Amino acid sequence: MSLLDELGYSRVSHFPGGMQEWETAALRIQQGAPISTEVLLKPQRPIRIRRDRWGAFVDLFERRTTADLVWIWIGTIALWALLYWSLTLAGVGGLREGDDMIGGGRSGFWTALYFSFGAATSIALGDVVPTGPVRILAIVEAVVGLLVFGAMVSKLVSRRQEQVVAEIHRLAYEDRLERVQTDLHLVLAELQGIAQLCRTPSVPTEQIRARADSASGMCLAELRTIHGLLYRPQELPEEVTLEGILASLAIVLRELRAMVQCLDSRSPYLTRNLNGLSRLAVEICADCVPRRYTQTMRDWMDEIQTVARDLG
Amino acid sequence: MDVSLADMRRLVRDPRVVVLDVRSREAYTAGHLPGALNIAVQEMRERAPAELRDRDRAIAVYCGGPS
Repeated sequence: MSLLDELGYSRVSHFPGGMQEWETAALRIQQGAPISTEVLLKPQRPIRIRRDRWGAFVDLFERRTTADLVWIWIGTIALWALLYWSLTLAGVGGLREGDDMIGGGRSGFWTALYFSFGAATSIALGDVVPTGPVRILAIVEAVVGLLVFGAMVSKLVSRRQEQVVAEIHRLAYEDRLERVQTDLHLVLAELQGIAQLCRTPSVPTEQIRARADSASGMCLAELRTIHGLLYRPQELPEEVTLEGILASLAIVLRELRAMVQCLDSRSPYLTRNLNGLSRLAVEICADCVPRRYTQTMRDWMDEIQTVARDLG
Repeated sequence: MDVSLADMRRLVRDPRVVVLDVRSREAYTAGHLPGALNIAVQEMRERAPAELRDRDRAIAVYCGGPS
């Protein structure tokens, strides 16, 4: 469609057969008024985090396990010890113990390793000292050694922290699910109460109307939460839990419909809430939610949608 | 890009694709492809930028048919 291209949409496919071809092929057709498009069309761009080069370097450690980091640290120390030792033998500066340079034998290597540990942990005691260009090497080792050691420690600490954060998220989410179910039950009780009052002739209309207004507001708030659960799940709720919630919602909406039918007039507030309810609930149907669910849940969703149509 | 009926059936099932019905509201209400949204051609200029905010999202558009 050239109009959409003109408006800047880059990925448009056009189905020229249109409704006619679709109907001829006897494929499934949906009926009903348009739903609000707002929810479905939130931009879906992935969040991009800007990374600098330093960040990339830190990430290099981030991806390693704690055990890896320990080995990297030990490897660094051993590598530097080897460098000190061979440079001393080659006569390019080197390590000096007291008045003499360290020797080429096994004891010489142990001394180099001893110095290397001291440099990496920045506790070199001064009994072995670097001379000449080797001093630069020693400084580099101190910096690298401390970095790796720091990464190792932070890894140990952050792992525990990540576990705690994940646990908090899970608890908050479960709490939210539980609250939705409790609230739905309360709303249901309230709606039934109102319907009963409505059938009693002696009760003043204002009283019923006030309670109906407030109950419809609660209904709308609950529906928003459930809509959010289906469209923007932070975590996938267990199917059993979700099924319970959907079933309760369907029952609540049915009661709401019965209550509304009983009232002889609607306040503007109630009308607004009912419109909001039907707009949101129409979007809860097996074919519009972004995930595929089991047949029972699909049935509940379709029931919700059917009842919602009568509300608006 | 024009697509066939078979392609369209696949696009309708794909949750990442926005299926867009550009016929009138009345025609849409009477029957539409599963999950389709409705913005009539006449309202496109006005409504599309506000409602279809993501211009890189895949859109499958259809109308009444060839006739």
